Amino acid sequence: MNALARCAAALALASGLWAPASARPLVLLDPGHGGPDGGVQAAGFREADFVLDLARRVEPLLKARGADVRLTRDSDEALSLSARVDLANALQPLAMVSLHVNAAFQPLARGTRLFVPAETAVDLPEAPLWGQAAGMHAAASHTLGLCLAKAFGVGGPRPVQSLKLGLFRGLGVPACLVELEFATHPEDLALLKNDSQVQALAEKLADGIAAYVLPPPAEAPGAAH
Amino acid sequence: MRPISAARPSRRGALAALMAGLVLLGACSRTAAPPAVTRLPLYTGQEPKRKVVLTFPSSQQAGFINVDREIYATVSMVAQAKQVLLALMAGPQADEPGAAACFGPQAAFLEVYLDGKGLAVVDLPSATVQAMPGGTSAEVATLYCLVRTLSADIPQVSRVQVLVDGQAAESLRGHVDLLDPLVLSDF
Repeated sequence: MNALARCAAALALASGLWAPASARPLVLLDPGHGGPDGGVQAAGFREADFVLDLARRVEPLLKARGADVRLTRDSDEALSLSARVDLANALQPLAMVSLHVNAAFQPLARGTRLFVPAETAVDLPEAPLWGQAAGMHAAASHTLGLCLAKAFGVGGPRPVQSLKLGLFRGLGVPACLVELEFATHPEDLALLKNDSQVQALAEKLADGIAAYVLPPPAEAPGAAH
Repeated sequence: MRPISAARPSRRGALAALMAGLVLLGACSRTAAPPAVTRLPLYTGQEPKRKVVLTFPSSQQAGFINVDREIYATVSMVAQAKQVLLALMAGPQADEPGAAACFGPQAAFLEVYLDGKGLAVVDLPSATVQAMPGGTSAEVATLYCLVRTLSADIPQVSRVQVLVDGQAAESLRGHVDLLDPLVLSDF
């Protein structure tokens, strides 16, 4: 989305001219990086391109499940963290999910990691305002993270980690940053380059997000327990 | 003929000033060269040595490991902090196979400041930032090792503010928030 479109959306919201056309929950997908910031790059792989392609795959899947979807960017454009936050705060989606690919100095690191705003900042009187804003949605963000963790099969003692990320500064909506696999691990990198595996990642993302934003399907009358 | 005031620049002087301005303008319009990395000597080699503890990512499993090193116990704590940072940026040695690097190759810093009230300011050149692999996990590893090592080895340090090319930065590579100083409990 370009700056003009973002501005128009914010103005329409502020003036009350625009309202959601339906009760479908809004999801904001945030493909990380973009423009000169290519993100993680390895052996012909470029994170900014990958996550944009992934977001475009997730969008129809979520729409088919009953959600409305917006993207923070729909081209290879530079977008600051604060611009992403401003857009999220203007649109007020039920969930914002930021898509990234991980990298590590440890050659053995691999798998999916999920990051949400820290919960503690809101309880501290001296906490900066940005911490209080993100902290207000920490519990909801944690639940969103757990839904995604379940979809991706992320376990362990801390399936969802709280972290002070720039994306969470001043963010007023539930959010989770998903680091999908490690481009620094050869097997993870091969997965990221495999079209059917990428589609499977998109399905998992859609499942996890839908589990958070959409009500569970009603049981059929007379269903046996 | 009009008298020339002593306070007024001569025509030749004005021309020289104009030429200097043009040269300066030309220099500014070109792509700025990266800031020079500090290479001043940090110690004489006559100081006593003291042990410090560096934190690196574990190379074999999740988590971090500590390794012991020695630095010169200079009178200047800033010089000690710089020695620690140089050792951290150089990465683990050959006899430390359990440790992984926490900076990319050719890592350097532009400057280190201590405010005497617990804050260390570490100014990194963008080339060092771009040499990192990217990704949240790598960024967390770099910043955690930096904060933990400086906090452990320099008694005056409990918070670390990271700058990039002398400027405040949203993050290193798009992830961890750098606009406020980092403390160990952030990780």
